[in-house]
Parts: sequence; C-alpha cells; structure tokens
Amino acid sequence: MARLERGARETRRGTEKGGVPPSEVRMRWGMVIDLRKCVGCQTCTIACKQEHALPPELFWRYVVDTEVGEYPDVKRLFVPMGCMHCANPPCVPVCPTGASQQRQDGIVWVQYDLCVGCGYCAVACPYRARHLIHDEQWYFPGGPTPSEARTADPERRGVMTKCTFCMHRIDAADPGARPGVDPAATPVCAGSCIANAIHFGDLDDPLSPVSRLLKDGKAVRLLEELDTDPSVYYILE
Amino acid sequence: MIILPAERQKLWGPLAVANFVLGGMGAGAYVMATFLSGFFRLPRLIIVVSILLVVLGFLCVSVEAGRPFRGPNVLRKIGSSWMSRELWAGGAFVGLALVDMVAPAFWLRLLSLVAALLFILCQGLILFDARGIPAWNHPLVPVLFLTSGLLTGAAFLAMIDGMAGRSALPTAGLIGLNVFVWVGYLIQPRDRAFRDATRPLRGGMALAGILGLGHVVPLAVLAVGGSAGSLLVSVFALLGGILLKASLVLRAGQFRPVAFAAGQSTRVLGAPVAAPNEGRN
Repeated sequence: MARLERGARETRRGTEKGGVPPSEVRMRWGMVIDLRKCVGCQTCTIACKQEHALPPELFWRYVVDTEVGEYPDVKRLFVPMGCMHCANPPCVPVCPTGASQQRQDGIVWVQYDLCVGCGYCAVACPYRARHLIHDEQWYFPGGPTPSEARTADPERRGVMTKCTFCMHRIDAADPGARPGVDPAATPVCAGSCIANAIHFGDLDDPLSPVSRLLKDGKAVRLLEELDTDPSVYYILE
Repeated sequence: MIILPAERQKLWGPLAVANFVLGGMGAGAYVMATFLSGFFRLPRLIIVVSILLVVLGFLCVSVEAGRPFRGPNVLRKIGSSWMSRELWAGGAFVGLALVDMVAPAFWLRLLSLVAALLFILCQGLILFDARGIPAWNHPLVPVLFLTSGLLTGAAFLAMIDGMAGRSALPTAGLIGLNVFVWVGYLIQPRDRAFRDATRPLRGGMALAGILGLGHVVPLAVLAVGGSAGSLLVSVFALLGGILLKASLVLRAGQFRPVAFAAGQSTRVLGAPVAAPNEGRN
C-alpha cells in the first residue's frame, strides 16, 4: 500500500522527465485487453468521448472490427485501440516544445499550453494514437449545445490530443484507492466495459490484476518489433 | 495480423513540403555559392536570397501549425528533437549570414556554412525520426535531403546569378549523386511496409518526373549544350527536387500497418468509428 501511495504522489507531481522511474518507485500503469471477451459494443468509445468531451470525428478510444483467417476458417475480432503509453514512446523525444511528456508512472500525455500543433509526434507514433484538433466544430449547426458549451476545452484547439489513461481520475483518487480496482480511479474505458474485457493496473506490481492476467505469457502487443515497449497488452486466445 | 491497414498521413501537407524545398534550396544555394565563389567572394545577392528562402520556408510551415504564435516553444528541445535543432540551425544560419553580410569575416562565413549544412541535414533527420512512416524512417532520407538541397541550391544559383559557367560541373556531379542516392533508397530491400509505402515512387509517373525530367534531362542538356542550356538545366533540376520532396512527403508518407505479428491475414470489415489523426474542433 505504501508503494501505491508513493506512486500516486509521483502521479500527482506529473514530472516532465520520465521513462525510467526512480529507484524506489517502480510503477507503470498499463492495460490488458481480453479480445476473447470484447463484443465490439463501442461502450468504451462512447464513455471516453463523454468523459473527455471530445469533439465530433475525434476518438481517443475506438474499436476496430476485423476478420481473422481465410475462408472458411474465419472469425471476427474486435480490437479496442488507443494510445499504447509506450515505455519507449517515439512521440516524446521528437516533440520540439516538450509538450509531449512521459510521467514517471509511464503515462504519456500532452501539456496543451506548450504544444504548437506541429504534428511531429503524430507522424512519429506508429499506433496513430495522436489527434490534432484544428478549429472549433460542434455537433449541430448554430454553435455549441449547452452541454458542449459547458465541456468544451479551448486549450485543446490547435494542439495535439490523445488518450491520457484518464490520469485526472488517477490523480484525483483518494489515498489508498487502487486504480484498476476502484472504478472512480480507473480509466473510464476500462470501468465502462460491459464484458470486463479491459483491465487496468500497475504492470510492475506482481499482485495487480493486470500482472496476474499476463502471468501465462500469452498476451501480445502491437508492433512489438519497433521496440516501443507498449503498456497495452492483448489476449488473443 | 493487420489491425489497421496502411493509411496516408494528412498532417503534413504542401506547406511542410514548401519548407523542405525552400529551406533546402536556400541553404544549398548558400553552400554551393560559397564554394563556387572561392569562399571569400560571395555575392551579397546570394546571401540575401538564401536567407529569404530559409525564412520563407519557416513561414510556410508555421502557417500549417495549429498554434503558430507559440513558435518560439519549438526552440525548447534541442537535446532531443530534430525539429527543434532545425529551427536552431536555421536561425543560426540566418543570423550568422546576416552579420557576415554586414561585417564579413572568415569565421562568420565558416560558421554560416556549417549552420547551413546542419540545417539541411536536420530537415532530413526530422523525417528519419518519424517512426510511424516507414518511407521516412530510412537512413538514406537525410542523405537524400543533403544531396537534393545542394542540387536545387546549385540550380537556383545558376538561375539568379549567372554562375552557370562555374556551376555546370558541380551540378552534373550533384545530379549523378542524387540519382545514386535516390535509386539506392528505392531499391532497398526493407520490410514490406516500406516497399508498399514507396510503391508510388517507383511508378511510371514518379520515375518520369523525378528521374527523367529532374535528373536525366538536365544531365543530357549539360552534356550536349554546356552552359548554353543552363536555364533549362536549372528549371528541370529544380522541378526534380520539388517533385522528389513532394512525392516523399505527400505520396509515400503513409502510416505503417498496425499489426500483432506477420503471417495471419485479417480484413477490416468496417470502420465503426473513424480514427482520424486530424480532427476538427
């Protein structure tokens, strides 16, 4: 528990430099997505859009609908996609302003007030997880709806945006709360998944739910050959 | 097992290409003029035009940025970002060349020259560091930017300052070098993502435009007519340089497929939700 509290303190600090946690704090938030359970309902997609008040056409989390195999041995696969929060993120060192940062708990995020919206991080990201918001657009003609007016974030206009692993939830969690276990401290996509396919937790904690899921070594990651060391794992079979 | 197929990037458009073309041409013209004029007798016109081209390139790319008025922030990460280094090198070139123009000095000219070369290399390394785009993430891209920048610089020089007589041989050499690097880049037996992304560059139109018009024609004109056809050589070499960078950024600039591992085929059934890199709000 003390380790978790230390990690939470680090999380709150939101340090700019990252990649390798300091010697005492070993913590790396990650996700394990069980594709055997995902039904492609897009609840995570909508929950993410609602949580972050994302504008039209912008999705930090989405589910890809794919077909695996060759006829007649074919099956359908739903793959929730988003930022992989890589331990070795290609998007962070290329950023010329320092807006793209990696926290000591592994979360990769964008400090909006530094970003110039050059798009360099987006072309560096092999997972296409970064999205530039150019200018204001609303769901309906004639300006924002009352709800949009309430939730719109002018800071996000003209800058790069991406999944944050809902770090605002992790940072605001009560002391002792366990992200990945307590819903209020868990990324909303994981908390809202109707099939319990998305699991969140500390990859460095051998007792966390995500570490237990990874124990049998069957989980895989996307584009592993690029050595980005993604923090999102998928269980295929 | 491919989850997301390759997709053309839409983040960097013609304005980014303009930065690469104008910047490479401006800095390349300065470097070539310095050598061709025997280092010390560099005409002022060349210095002014080189600086203007580099600045114009920066202006073009700043228009494409989402928050152009935060431009000075780009200087913050010289330790890790090639884009930051590009601005530092470009800024250093502009500053040093301006001072050299007002109060000429050997060391100023030497530093300007180094800054100009670094600036061209930084532009190529910007693309090389973009790991999402297999056609850019190739070690020959910075070399290609260097040879292409020098070639377009030499061609531009011949157009504006009558250095055609002196620049004919170096231009021919640079054309040969550029062809060598370009062909080497295209025939690299890299992974499938690279081969698929660069397929448009090996197509008939690209070969005819970049290699044919941009390199073979000027080389032939140089061989036949010497300096008499210098304007023709310059125009075609410039055209080739523009086509090369535009094709590399706009046509070959596609994201690599996102996959678990090779060997299993998948087909995306539908796009329940799009995953645009560019949103509007």
